[in-house]
Amino acid sequence: MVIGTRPVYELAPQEYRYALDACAGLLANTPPLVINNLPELTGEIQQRFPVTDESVTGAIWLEPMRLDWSGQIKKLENLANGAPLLVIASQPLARILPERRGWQGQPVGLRPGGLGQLRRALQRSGFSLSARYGLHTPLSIGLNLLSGRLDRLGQKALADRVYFAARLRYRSTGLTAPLATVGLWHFSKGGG
Amino acid sequence: MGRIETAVARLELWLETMRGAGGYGGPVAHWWQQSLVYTGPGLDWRYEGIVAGYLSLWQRTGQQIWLDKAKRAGGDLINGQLENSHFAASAFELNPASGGTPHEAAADCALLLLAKSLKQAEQSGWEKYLVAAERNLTDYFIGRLWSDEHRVFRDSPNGLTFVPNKAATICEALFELVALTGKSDWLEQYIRPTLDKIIEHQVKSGKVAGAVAQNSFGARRIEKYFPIYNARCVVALLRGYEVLAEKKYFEAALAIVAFISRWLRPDGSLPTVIYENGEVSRYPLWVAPLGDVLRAAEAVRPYGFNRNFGTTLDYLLAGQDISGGIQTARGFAAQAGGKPSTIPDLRDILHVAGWCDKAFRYLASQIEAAPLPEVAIEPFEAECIFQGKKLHFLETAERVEIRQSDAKIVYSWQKGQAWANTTRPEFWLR
Repeated sequence: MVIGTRPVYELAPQEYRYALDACAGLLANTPPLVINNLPELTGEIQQRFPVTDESVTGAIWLEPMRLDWSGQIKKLENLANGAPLLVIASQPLARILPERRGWQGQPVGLRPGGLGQLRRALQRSGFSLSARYGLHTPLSIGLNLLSGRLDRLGQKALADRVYFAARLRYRSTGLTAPLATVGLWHFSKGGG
Repeated sequence: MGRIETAVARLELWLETMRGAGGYGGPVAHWWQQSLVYTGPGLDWRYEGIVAGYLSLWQRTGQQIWLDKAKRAGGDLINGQLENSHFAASAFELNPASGGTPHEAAADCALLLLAKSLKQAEQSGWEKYLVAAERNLTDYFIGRLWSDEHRVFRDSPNGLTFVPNKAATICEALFELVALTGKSDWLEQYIRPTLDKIIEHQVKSGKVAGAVAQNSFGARRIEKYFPIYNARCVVALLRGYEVLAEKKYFEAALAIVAFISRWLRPDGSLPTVIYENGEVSRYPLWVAPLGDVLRAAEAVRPYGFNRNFGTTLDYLLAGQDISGGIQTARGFAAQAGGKPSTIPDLRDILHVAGWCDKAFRYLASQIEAAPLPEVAIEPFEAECIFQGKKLHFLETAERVEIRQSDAKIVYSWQKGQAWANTTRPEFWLR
């Protein structure tokens, strides 16, 4: 596998790439089992992970869908005790992303409460939630808009500082995480 | 033996520690973004400085080992070239991704410098480096980024963004290609309109006279001036003056260096961005990247421009740690406002292959004609902060390890591995 094949002019939206890079850091260079329901991100996955159907050391579940998420949970049964399960899911605010408007399917996370239902199902299947992150937060979106406004007003130095302030607030945890465009949930098999 | 020779010898030892399967890796800190989690090889602009640096060492010392290392680096690029002519993971701070600009053009420069040096030395095997670079320049830069309608190299096949310093790197590569292949029609077809476009982006008078605007979107120019990027325009313009016998390129190159020298601080550092109204974004104050500024200053010296950049050299050398690596910057923590803390930001002290190469290239071009001194490097450790958290940084020849105050490891990169291990979301920062 060669990492870094996807051209810069065909990259997926940043929050999904950010989430996949986070997964790489969490998986500690071990090949994960990948369940991917977003064909648009296949290239991004292939340029990061040696995809296998048999890994028991960790898993990435990308965009669980309303129609078959309960069936896909069964694919995770063989994960070893303590293995990380990383769920990347679009959240309601992802509807504003122009790139994903043409993406097919009915992601469970786009519906309010959908991810809560998924979490309970995963907990019943023996997974415990270690952490929940939101990527591309409303605060970072707001600061980016402000940065653009300042730039147009000729306040370029300030605009740049606000832009970098937005970068620092791109990720959130806890109660504000569901408000971001994309969620990254870190579960562990068996209570981790 | 002088301090430059010692610095080069230590830096070279550090570069060796950054090699893994496929090439030189490591985390990246940059103005635009970071790439702290992807740590695998990056076939990007780091190769320009690494190959040029090794070629300088070979040419100045006559020692075969440096040519072997230049060829090994060239081999990384050839082995990592994809079917579509891109180089894998060529996007530096945007990695993992291919098609990075100016990175692939800089990699082409590396390949072409190597081909030229081997050919001049009448050594065999130079053609493969030429072929790889020509394929990338033809398929990507000319095939996908050149706009016949607007006569510019765009920054992406999507849109009409022009970035002068990136275009200058493309010109540097094309000059080398023309010299090796005799495709002189490319001088008029691609290089002259590109150099003219760069000059169109140059400020003619006032506080920032000589500066080149960072980029343009169609007719809209972005009036931000980055000294380190301006410096990257100088060599291509001088080459344009020499090859195309056009005095305006010479004047433009000198005006850029004059602009940079006016903004030098007493300690030799430079603000990262200067704006049209004279405001600055001072931080981060680059350290290792100043190699490109010194290279530009050196390039204009034969033409009688002798402004002393000695303090800049001092500033760069003061950034070298006992690991041999040179720090990236000072004051990253103040990038979004405020003042830098007394403890450096993690991104300040990080030694990044794609910045250290610039120092390596310049310093290697300045050594005496004698073998480098025998030196040793040692593990480097320091306290730092990152996103408000106090951390302990350690780099050895084998790994980078960051611990929080209770000694728990929160980030570790085993050199050679494609990804750092971290459970702390702070390090996901892009």
